[in-house]
Amino acid sequence: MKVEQAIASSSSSATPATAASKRPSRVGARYRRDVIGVAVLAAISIAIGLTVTRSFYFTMLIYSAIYAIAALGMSLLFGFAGQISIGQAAFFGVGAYTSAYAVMHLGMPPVLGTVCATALAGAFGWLVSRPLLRLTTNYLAMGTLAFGVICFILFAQLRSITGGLDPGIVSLAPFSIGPWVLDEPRKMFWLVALVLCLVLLLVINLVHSRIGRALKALKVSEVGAAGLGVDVVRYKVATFTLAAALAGLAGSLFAHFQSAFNAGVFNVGLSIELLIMIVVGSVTTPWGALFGALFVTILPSFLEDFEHYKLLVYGVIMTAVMIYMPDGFGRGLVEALRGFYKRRRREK
Amino acid sequence: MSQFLQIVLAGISIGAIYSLAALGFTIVFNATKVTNFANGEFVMMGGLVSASLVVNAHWPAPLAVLVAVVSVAALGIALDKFGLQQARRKTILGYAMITIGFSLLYRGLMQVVAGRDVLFMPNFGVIPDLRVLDVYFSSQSTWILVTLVLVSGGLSFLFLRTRLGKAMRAASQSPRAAALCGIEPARMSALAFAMAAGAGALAGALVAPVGAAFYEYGLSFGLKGFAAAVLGGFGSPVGAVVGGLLIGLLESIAAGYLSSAYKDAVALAILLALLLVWPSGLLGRVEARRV
Repeated sequence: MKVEQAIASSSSSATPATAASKRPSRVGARYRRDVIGVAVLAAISIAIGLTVTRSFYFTMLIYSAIYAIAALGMSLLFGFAGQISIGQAAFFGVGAYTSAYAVMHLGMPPVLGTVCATALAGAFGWLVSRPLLRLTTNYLAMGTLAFGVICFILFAQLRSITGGLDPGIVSLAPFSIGPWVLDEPRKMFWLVALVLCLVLLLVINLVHSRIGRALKALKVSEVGAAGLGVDVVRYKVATFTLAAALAGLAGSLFAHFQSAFNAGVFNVGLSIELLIMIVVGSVTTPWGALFGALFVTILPSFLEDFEHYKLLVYGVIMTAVMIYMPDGFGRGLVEALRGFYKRRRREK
Repeated sequence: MSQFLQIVLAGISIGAIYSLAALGFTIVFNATKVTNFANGEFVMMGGLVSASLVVNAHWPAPLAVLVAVVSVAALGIALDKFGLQQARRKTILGYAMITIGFSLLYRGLMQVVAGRDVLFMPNFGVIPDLRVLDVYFSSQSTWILVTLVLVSGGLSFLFLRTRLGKAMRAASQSPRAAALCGIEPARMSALAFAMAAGAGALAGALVAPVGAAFYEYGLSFGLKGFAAAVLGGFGSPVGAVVGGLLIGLLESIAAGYLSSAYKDAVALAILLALLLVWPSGLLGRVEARRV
């Protein structure tokens, strides 16, 4: 318990003196605030599911939620543990193809296929994380990037399983749970929203637990964290595995919703988009992943002829955010507002 | 036998391109300790700008290449001046993320400026095609090899013999001490980016007639140039040249005898294996810290 508090106080701004006293600790208050946030999100999802009628909105929200699930994994890995990965598309792809293979060739029900997809992506992540996580910072970035490109080449070439770039996977059945077939965006929305809320709850519980504090500590200093009794390698590998599994889960849902897709989806562009989601949202809270996923998914529908300017816009956003707000755009916005109010209060 | 020699020659001439890209990584790393993820985009931009000037605007090739090299060098300086020098938090990963942002920006810029077509540039000509002992030296591969020799020779002369080169090395060893001696570290790092971008753009222009020019080709040049730099020992200019030639050779042999579909995967697998097993490379110190 003492180690836990030491980690908590070394990494966050919470004051350890209040944590021990009778008042509810600030760490506990944050946890409660985040759980209430999930409840609010669930309520909003139910309200949207009951009132919205246009399927276009549902489609947008479903894609946002699917990417948010993968981005939540990235948020743990990059935001909390400080380990960059530019190869998440590989695990997304493994999830999608596992689901497709399990349902189309092995005749499994989609639920079981999704479980398999999550497990296999996680196992794959675990397998590659042991060697890859021996690298640090920009070597890790380059290593995961190379890994992602190799996986993309494999997806495109192993045509007997993936269908390659053309035709890819064609007409995968929509998701179904027993007798309920989720063949409309509105029906699929319920499932995706439920999964997102559960994943978010999991991530929030992790972040506010001993594990989350250990991850924050090892982001600041691996040697320091090891000195406080954190098994650095084990935590890093576990986080990478979880991020891979979440990417696989997202990939599996994506496959069922999309129904037809080819290997081109899982190239480096997707990995970079996931990274941008974290950067645009916030690297320090899981809510940033949600905001970023919504932003990146909805942005194209606001801009005319977006496909042509997409890379330019992404490049400008990513560069500007990384230069001026290294903790993420959403975080920078919150900080700026907080500073503004403080200044006003002082003037009064 | 002649087929084998032909494969070796092809490998060396594409390897020379990787060498030039690897030199870009090395120059920037030595001057600033930044790993430049946008380095491959310099090669792509050099090729795409010169190809579109020649193919679409019908400029003469030498002028087009010159303009491409100068404009890409200017874009390289922009990366340093408006990106890295402005960074609020100066960490290795923060710098890397900024260069990733710039690589997207460059790609997007080229997509808007030069279009989304794959462009084929005509050969440079002038140097005749040669045939020695049943091995065919195409004019373009001679151009590539001559350029590699000139550029690497010029760079080693610059770094070892001139005041400017010494100033650059001093600024990279200790920016503070160099500043006290009247060297401006910011100017030195801008210069390093200009040189890396120029070398990359030249490589891109040279390879455009052999391969093609397209706004998405930067990533593979970047990764293979990085592989070459790691193979040679990160930070060693001689190692960068040797590493590039070796990567090109291995890739060409893999394409010739195994399968051309997996030739990119071969170079990347070599990169991963090197990073994990032999991070010091042929001629380098250990830079890729393992945990």
